[in-house]
Amino acid sequence: MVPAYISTFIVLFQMMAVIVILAYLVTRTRSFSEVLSGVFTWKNQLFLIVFFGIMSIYGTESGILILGAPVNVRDLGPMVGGLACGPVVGIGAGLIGAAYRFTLGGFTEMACSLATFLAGLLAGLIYLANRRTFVGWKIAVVFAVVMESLHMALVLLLSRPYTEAVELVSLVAAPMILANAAGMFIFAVIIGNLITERKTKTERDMYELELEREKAELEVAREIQVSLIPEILPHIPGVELAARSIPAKVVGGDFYDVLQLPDQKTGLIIADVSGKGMPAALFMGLSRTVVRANATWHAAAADAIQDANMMIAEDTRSGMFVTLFYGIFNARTHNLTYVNAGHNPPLLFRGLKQYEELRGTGMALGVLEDSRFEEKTVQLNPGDMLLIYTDGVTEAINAQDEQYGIERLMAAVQSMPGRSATEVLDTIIDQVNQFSGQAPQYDDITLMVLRVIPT
Amino acid sequence: MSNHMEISHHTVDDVLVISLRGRLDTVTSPETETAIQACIAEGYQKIVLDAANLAYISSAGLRILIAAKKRLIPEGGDLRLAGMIPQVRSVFTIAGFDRIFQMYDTEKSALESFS
Repeated sequence: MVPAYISTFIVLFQMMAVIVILAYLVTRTRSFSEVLSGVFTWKNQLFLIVFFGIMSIYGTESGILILGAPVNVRDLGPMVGGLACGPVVGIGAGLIGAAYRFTLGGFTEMACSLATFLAGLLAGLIYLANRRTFVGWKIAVVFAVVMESLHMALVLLLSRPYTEAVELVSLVAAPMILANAAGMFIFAVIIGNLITERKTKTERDMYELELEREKAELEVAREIQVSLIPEILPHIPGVELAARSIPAKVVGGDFYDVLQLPDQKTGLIIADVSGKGMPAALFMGLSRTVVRANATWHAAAADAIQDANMMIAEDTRSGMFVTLFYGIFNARTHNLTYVNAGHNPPLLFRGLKQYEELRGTGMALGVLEDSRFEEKTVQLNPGDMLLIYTDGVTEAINAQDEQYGIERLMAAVQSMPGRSATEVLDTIIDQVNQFSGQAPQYDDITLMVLRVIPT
Repeated sequence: MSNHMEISHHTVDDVLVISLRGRLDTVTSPETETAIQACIAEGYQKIVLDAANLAYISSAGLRILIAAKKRLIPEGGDLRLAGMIPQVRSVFTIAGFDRIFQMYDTEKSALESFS
């Protein structure tokens, strides 16, 4: 014969096991899942009312005698239903549990039925007070303790004869409170886990969605950039012209453009928009169109850039700007008239030993509406070579965090006398790629080479 | 890559001094911009950017400083620069931004310019 306290313990353990299973089952149902997401339908609420109602009936029926007094977890179903699914489910389940208890009779029928109904109602109100979410296991357990104390108080208040009520309460109060608190703890932890799981999943989904979106955005930005760069350059008599732009993975806003102007003149534009991705691509599109229109309209380079700047500056927010070199090459005189709006100075090689920097003649575009720009003119002689580039070239970095730098660029050019513009361009790009090695390309690399064919 | 920017700040009277240590490039600009804009949102109007430990600045870095300055000027404030190394200063000069940013050799002289 097993001692009484051990068989009591086994019965209690079985009750807890049933509660664990019920908790597991209900949290996997679609109805519970919907309600947790804030979707309430009469169907899912009815299902949950019936579920927690039956759980309340089970709580009554599984009640055991401890020290000769009946201990039960009848209030647990309505409490959990109310806390996790709101007042409708709480009250519904409470009514079912209360009605069942009422049919059993006994001198505490009124107090016990009322307590079960109140358990569902109060739990539902707590759910509402907590902005329609589950309160978490700590408050849930405290609530279970308070609710069962209230249950005991109701017995003392309503059940007669009073002396019997006092005797009963003194026997069952502690085990009842403990059993319901333990049941609530199990339920609350399982529901809490479920909520955390769902939150993690939502966050992960959001993160993946964001990655997808960014990838798509980069694709579009790259397409915009590539579509705005001329595929074929016009032929200029007596001159070789080559240009290329290699977008970085996170596309920057480099672009170049070559315009055929009247009187055997050719407009050369190279620009670098500050920023990356979609904003830079759009700003680049705007800048290119505005500069192109003004370059076609104005004969003088400085006027074109001045007006272009005004239009771009009107449109910029968030400090975006574009550095730009605009040169007008006259194929008849071999003069180059240029405006350098904050762009890194192009290098004009005179033979191979000497070079000039075509330094800034004004501020980057898009910063101040009333910026003034000067234009300068240089004479190009046969054999001279003009190298226009963006800082993606000189600031390309290798694995050791060193920059390619202007010295290497100069050395590269000076190491290949007599080469064509295309050869020089290809060699520089090869060298930059070799220098960077496996290091990621952080910025667009754009180069334009103009060489006056030696006579 | 040292993809990290150390940002610290302190106040001298009503001027906020923001110190940057690291490289202000595409990678570090977003966090730096958030930090600077947060300071402006707190109500600081006079800001000195202590750039003595700024090793490098790219166009992305220039952009966030211009954005900050554009926001401060209409409020009667300003963003002024102090202690830049020559390489960093030359980036401003090439873009022509030495004409819009007031630059000082030391934090002290930048602070005095506000008083």
